[in-house]
Parts: sequence; C-alpha cells; structure tokens
Amino acid sequence: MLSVNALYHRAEAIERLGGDEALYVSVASLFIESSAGYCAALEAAVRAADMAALRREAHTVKSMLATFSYEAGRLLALRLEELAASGNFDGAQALTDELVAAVKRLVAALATEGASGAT
Amino acid sequence: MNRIAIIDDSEINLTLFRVLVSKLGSCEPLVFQESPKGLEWCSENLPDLIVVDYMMPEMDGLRFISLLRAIPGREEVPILMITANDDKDIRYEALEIGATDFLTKPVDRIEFSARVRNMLALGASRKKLADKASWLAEEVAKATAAIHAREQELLFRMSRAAEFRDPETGAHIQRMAHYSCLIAGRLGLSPEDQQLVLQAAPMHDVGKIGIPDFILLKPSNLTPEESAVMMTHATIGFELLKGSESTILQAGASIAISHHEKYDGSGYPYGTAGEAIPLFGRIVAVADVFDALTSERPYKRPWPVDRAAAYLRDTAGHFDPSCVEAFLASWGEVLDVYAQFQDAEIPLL
Repeated sequence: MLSVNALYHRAEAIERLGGDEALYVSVASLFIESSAGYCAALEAAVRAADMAALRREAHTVKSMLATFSYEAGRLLALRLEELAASGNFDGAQALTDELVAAVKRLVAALATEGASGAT
Repeated sequence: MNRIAIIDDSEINLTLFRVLVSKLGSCEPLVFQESPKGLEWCSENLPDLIVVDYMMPEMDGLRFISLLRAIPGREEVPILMITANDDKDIRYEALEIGATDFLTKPVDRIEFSARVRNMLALGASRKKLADKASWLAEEVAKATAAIHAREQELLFRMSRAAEFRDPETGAHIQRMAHYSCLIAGRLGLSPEDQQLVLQAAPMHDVGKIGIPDFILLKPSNLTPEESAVMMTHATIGFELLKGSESTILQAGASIAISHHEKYDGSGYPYGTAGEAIPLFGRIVAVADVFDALTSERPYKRPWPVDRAAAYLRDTAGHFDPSCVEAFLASWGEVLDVYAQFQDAEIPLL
C-alpha cells in the first residue's frame, strides 16, 4: 500500500481548510462512509452506458479527491469526466475501473490514518 | 443574521460549507442536497447569499441560476457558483445568466470566507441603497402631495375672493363643485377627470372680480346694458385663467368661458351649442343652476330641491340632457352634498 503521504497531501488539505483539523477529520470520515456510494454510482453509470450520469459522477468524485489533494486520483476523474462529456464510450469501462480503485486506495489510506491516530 | 442557502448534491460538500458558514459568525447556513428543493426555498424566502454547485442531477447550477433570476425579487440576490478550475466555459455561461462570483474546488476556507463576506457586504449595501431610494420616493410623493394641496388651497381662496363681493357663499362653491363631480362620475369620466372638475369648478365665476359693484350687487333686475356687462364675467374669467401649464387652471378657464352656454345655442358668450360646448362647461351649468335655485338670495327664497330638479328636467334646450340625467341619477348623493355644505364656515375641498 502506498504510504499515506505519497498518495495524498494531508497537510495541504488541512491548510486549505484554514488549519481546521477537526473539520478535516469530519470530512474524511464522511468520505469514507460515502465512498461505496460513489463507486457504485460510477459502476452503474458505465454499466448502463449513461454518459451524462458518468460525467456527473466523475465530476463529483473529482472534487472529493481534490479536497484531499489526491492529485493522481483527481486527474483520473478529470479524464473520465472529459471522456464521458465527449460521448465516446471507448475506454470508459477501463477508466472507471481505475478511478474506483483510486477511490478505494484513498479510503484505505484515510482509514489507516484514522486508525493510527494521525488525525 | 445572514441566511446563506447552500445547494450541493454532495453531502460532504454540504457538511464542509455548513461548517465554514457557521464559522463566519452572524451567518445561518440552510443546506439543500436536492436543487429543486433549494430553489423552492429560495423562491419562498429571501436568502442573503446563495452558494450553488454546478454539476447536480435533476437541475444543474446553471439551470438553478436561470430559474432563480426569473423569480421577482430574486434578481439581485448574490450567487456564488462552485466550479472546478477547468470549467472556464461553464463560468462564462454562469456569469451571462446571473452568477455573481465563483468558488473553485477544492474549497479553500480563506477564499470562501473572503468571498462570502464581500458578497454579503455588497448585498447589504445594495439593500441600503434600495431602501434609501424607496425612502426618497416616499418623501418626493409627500412633497408633491403638499404642493398639490397648497395649489388647491390657493385656487379655492382665489375663487372665494371672486365670490366675496357676491351674495353667494363659500358653501355654494363647495356644493356646486361636488355636484359637478357627481355628474362626472355618473357620466363615466375617469377618477382623474372627476377630481379635476371638483378642483376646477369653484373657479367658474372668478371673472366676477371684473364686474362693478353696482351691477354685481344690484338687488333688482339688471337693465339690458347691465346684463351685457355682467355676461362679460365669463370671458374675464377665461382671460384670468388661460395659458397656464396647470391642468386645473386650464380646466378652470374652459369652465369659466362655457358654463353659461346653453345646449340649444342661446347662451353666452358665443352661443355655442350641443356638444361643441366643453363637457366640463355642460356639467357645471347643471350644478351651478341647481345650486343657485336651491340657495337663498337677497332677492329670492331657496327653491325646494324637488322643484329645482323638475326645473332641470323640464327646461328643454338649456342643459345637456345626459348631464341632467346623470345629476338626477345621483339624487341620494346630491342630497348628502346639499346637507353637508351649508352656509357656515366650511373646510376647503
């Protein structure tokens, strides 16, 4: 598993929230709780080949990942969002799978962070 | 307390913004995860600021802004739209349809706080300006009303001055003006024209100022020569009142010159007939004669009102029949006016 610090930038995320670590912890907890829903929504959209829904879900996940300064994940979400916006379904499944995996990696990292008391 | 409506389909964002707004102080966050519900609330309640996400199911941020701006009273509410850094075209479109400013994701607390505070200050200034404009409009209306009241008082006192040497009284002016207004109303004239005849009718005999006392106050019948002089009060009144920019004085001039014309053309000063006589002149002719008949004079007792009404009805040729009909159709109100304005100290119109 990637180290917490390599995957995303906790310090930067907290700084963006004005140094409010308690707020960061709340947001992180919420994201962990909601992540399954985001992944399910992405997978449902690509299964249905619903490009509008896929674009919307990718857009939502993009901002979530950006909140934690998870840049690699954000870029993946951006690529998927743009692909869905173009209406071109080629590559959508593979990109969705990558994005879902990225979300799960972040969730695991945040959960580890929480368990280790890094918050 | 500033009410800030936050519309975003992401629970995480709503939580984030709710906390950030609460930390601003004097701000109450109202959160809506479904944009239609957010729109409904904003249409029924006036928020001080709206924070709205762009990408939402059912109704996106652009559609929300478009619909909100179409609601009366919501044209000026500050709207902060949340977009990603790469949504430049979306930002342009949002500006076109009414977004006030933008927040980019990921949300930065300092930037959020600064933008929200600035927009609340802008909204407060705008409201203060609108309130001031509204207050000013009220003050102007009051001042205008005061000017109108003074104008009316001046005209009334001028009319009283003309009648002062005459045996007729101030109550006569009031009665015949109100009779004239009743006729105008019954004829279907606009409220503005009814008010105009009410205000202008008192000036009908202002030209009597130019009639010598020995003729004006002669207790017995006038000689033909004296009658001819007396008749000039119509044109004298017209000369006194004509040429003004005031619609009341213009109406007064028309009434002064025409209220002694007769429907069959046998009146004075010009022998004008029928509907060539200005309508206000035809109206005042009925009102003035009725009041003259039912008033006491040094040379006669007042007629009973029913006898005076019969005279109007039966005197073919003198009056415009439609004006007589309108007057008699207002009989109840005529009697009220007759009772209200008796020959004692009376208030101005």
